[in-house]
Amino acid sequence: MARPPTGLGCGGGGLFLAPPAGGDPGAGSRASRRRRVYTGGVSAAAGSVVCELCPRMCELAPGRRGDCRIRANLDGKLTALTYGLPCSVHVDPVEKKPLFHFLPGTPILSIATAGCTLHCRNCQNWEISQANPEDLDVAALPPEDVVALARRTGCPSIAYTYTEPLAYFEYTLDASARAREAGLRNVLVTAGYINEPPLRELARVTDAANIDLKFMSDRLYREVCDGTLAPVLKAIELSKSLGVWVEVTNLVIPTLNDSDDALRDVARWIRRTLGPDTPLHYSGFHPQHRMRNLPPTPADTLRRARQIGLAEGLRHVYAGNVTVEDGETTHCPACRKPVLRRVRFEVVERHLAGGACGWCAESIAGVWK
Amino acid sequence: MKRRVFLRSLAAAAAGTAAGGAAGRPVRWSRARAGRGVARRILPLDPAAVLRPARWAG
Repeated sequence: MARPPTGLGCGGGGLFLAPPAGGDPGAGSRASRRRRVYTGGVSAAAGSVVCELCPRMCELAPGRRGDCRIRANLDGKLTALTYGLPCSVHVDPVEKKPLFHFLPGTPILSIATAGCTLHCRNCQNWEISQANPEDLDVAALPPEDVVALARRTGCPSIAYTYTEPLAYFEYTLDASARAREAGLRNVLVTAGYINEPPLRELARVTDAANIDLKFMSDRLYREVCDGTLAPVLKAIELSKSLGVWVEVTNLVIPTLNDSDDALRDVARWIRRTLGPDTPLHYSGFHPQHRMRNLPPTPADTLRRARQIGLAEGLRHVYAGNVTVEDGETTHCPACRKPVLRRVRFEVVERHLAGGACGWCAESIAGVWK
Repeated sequence: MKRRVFLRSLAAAAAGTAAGGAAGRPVRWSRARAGRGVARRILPLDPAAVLRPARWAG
């Protein structure tokens, strides 16, 4: 059988990386997968291991996988199945994450593997997040190649996103460490469902995170996401305290969490726990996956959410995923003039000088360079 | 079933091996092997797709 070209190239520069000719593309990766895993060791049952990565603490009998589908007990060793094997690799605008106060207007190399620690009924990316790894096509992209690709595509940062970067923890961690060495930044787009020790380790090499705070109700976390609220709150708080730039996303789902009280609870918790400079993104819901019975979030609801967030004392509240006038504009908290105006994912107007408002010189919280 | 497939994929052609199997040899899906499954196919990155924003959220 004919072998396809090994370097597809782009502009003659060999931009894109292909699996090595004649070799096993996963050979090195597989070795790494077995080296770096979060495991509590052998459990009471013979041959079983406990995965201590997320609050589920899955106990895996030999040959079985965890709830995330991508961590398995192979030969008595906890193994990260998707290490170095992303199913999605794209260059996105950083505004798409969404991150509005982190290197605005820059491209970001965004990668994901299969798997997630939660199982949200409304997941927008369920085709990859709720898939078994053997059901998806992937690329062989070990951490060092992720960094090389980011450089070649002119991206100053790398996002671990689309599915759940905390589920493919070892890959995220190793790629992030290499990116740091190369002077690149790292971004997590995550549901924040992780235990404290691994999060502390990952935070050392993470620059920014957009963390979902889906509900302020443990009941809804259980019913909609098959998770719990407390670990998420803890992860958000811990990330902030460890120096990660944190923006929070709250998906507003009609009838579930679109009441004034529910919207206020999110904003209030953020202001009290993380501070008023933490950006909050109220995001529009679209019927997806196993939640097609509810309508999309009306623009009016998001407008109302934004007003509630601002009234609660947050300085930067956004409304996205649905067109809302000025919903994605960063306003100066002092003079209220637009500092960064965005249309979809593009910055179309910028009045920012060295992290300060270009109109009144008020400092704007964020990572600007 | 979707998973009940032969893992004789393009990966064999692309990389000289089928996922989890010996070089170039077709590998039959089995419940045991599914636990070791890492991918349906391992393909080269598509340059055009990489430079396009993802259709996925986030």
